[in-house]
Amino acid sequence: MKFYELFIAIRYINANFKQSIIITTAVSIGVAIIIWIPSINLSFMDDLINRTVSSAPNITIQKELDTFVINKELFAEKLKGENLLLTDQVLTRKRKIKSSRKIIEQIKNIEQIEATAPFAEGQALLIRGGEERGVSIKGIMPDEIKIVDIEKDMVKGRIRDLTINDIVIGQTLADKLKVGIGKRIKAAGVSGKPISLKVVGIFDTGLRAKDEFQAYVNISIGQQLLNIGTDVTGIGIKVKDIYKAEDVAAEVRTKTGLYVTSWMEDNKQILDQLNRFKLIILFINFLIIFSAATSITSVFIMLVASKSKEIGILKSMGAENKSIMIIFMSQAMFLSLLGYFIGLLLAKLMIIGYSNLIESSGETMFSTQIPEFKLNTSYALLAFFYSIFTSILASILPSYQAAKLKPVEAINA
Amino acid sequence: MPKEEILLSLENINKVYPGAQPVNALIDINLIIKKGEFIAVVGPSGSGKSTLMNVLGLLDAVTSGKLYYLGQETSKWDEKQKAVFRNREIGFIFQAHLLLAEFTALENVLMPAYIARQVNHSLEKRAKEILTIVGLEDKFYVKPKNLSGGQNQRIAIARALMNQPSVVFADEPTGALDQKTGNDIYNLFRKINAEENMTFIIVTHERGLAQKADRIIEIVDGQIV
Repeated sequence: MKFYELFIAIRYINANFKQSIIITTAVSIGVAIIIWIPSINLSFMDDLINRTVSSAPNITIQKELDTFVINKELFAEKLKGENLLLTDQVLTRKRKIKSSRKIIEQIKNIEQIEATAPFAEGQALLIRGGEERGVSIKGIMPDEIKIVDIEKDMVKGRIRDLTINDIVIGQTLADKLKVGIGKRIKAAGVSGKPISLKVVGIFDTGLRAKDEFQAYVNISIGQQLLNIGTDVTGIGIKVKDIYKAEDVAAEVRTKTGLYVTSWMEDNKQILDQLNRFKLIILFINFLIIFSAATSITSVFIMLVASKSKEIGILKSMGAENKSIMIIFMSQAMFLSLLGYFIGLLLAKLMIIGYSNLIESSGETMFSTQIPEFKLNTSYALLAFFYSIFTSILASILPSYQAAKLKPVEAINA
Repeated sequence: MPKEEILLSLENINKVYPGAQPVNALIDINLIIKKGEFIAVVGPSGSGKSTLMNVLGLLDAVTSGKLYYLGQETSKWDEKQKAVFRNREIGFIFQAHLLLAEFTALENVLMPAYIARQVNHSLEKRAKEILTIVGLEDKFYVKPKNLSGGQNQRIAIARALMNQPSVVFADEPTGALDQKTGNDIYNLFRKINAEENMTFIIVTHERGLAQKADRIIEIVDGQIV
């Protein structure tokens, strides 16, 4: 027999069933927690990032924001007889970009840039009967869909080829205004002159901020509502590698001298939160490894103590120290591997269970859709190394003690 | 006497167990054992018989003196060399049978061959033959806990013989057996001793058994008398 150590180890695992169960349970619980917690949280985070990234340009060229107070008298005059509930509101508007074509010309040679599209975005009121809502209205060019993949979130109607009569709104906003495809709503911007528009599309990004407070119109309607003539308020840019957005933004900033932000800056809080979370996870993992290793070590110390006579017998028959070490360490390794696979299964079940549990609630703080909870493969891999590391860490000392037992002392123990 | 006939020789062997009151377990032991000898070691309890067996079996280190096996001085051997030598050249039968509880009778007997990493069909056949010789032909696949003390002792004997060692050390091998089985075992030892020129060193209380040996070594208070 080439590897009698493994033969003995497996026999010991079967014979010492209780100890084997304790070790396997300790490892599998540790593994399950190590995979489950990050999988759930990273699913939320990744979902949030994906939705955020896909619902806004990777890079935006814009100017500082203007703030101004809505002219209530003017609104009341213009909308006479509409019975509007006008309230005091401070609206914002991005300063104009006069020559978007020139700017696009300046940056078109940057290798990472995939597409550009100017837009006119600002705040406006959407009015339907007695219901009015303050929204961010975005006047877009046909190329906008190359910058932000709005089409994938369309649940009704269209976003392409918006005419000057069309408006696309989010599902939540549509529900609140009680409108559907083909219905008309009025939009009022700083110009104060309301424009009647037909709802031609409804989207559902899953992000509350978008679905309730964003509307798309033809760029000329946007310009009209914001009273900016033929100027635009910003230029959206799509880059090839979203994680290079910050570098590309810096390059654009240098070339244009304008105020340029990347999705990473815009979502700094989320990204910072993600990094903080990863640090916490690291700490939790350390605690889990430590506690699992402690329990495995104590089980192994007991195991070695109970097996000292057998160790003596094996040594009297010529078993070498390293073979004794292999016998005990391979037991830990076997059980840890078994624990890993059970833990992996457990983590998967816990993810499914959690997913089912919160599905009933339907929405979360940031999004209106429940993300797809996926088992995080990086953490599954980490857990694999954890289980091997723990088993080595936990068994090395007792195994070494076993190996160093003098045969005669072991036999007489 | 030609040197190659000497299996082992002891020169001024001392074994002291340290402590608040050190115990001199073996004192100036000088001994030569030839190949094929059948020796009984006798003496009162605590006289040093088991210590001598442990020292001779390389299970315990000496405090001073030299122990030669087949002309080689063993104090320079590291643990690995001692382990390999024990596996190939020495068979042990302990007072308590000391079997591995998790393994069957056959696996226990095969264990020295497993450790030598050389189990094949012929070795398995040999293990079965030895078990048959010791009267356990129907217990190959039974675990020690399901056998009597005497049957377990016979497994231990079979195990000691498995690797065809040069020498077998037996510490009270028949102590747990009835007289008839004890005699059978003694006769078996004698038969193997004669047929395979295997050296037997048997520690025993039984004067009757000792007197059947070729030579009796008597130890009193750690000294050969």
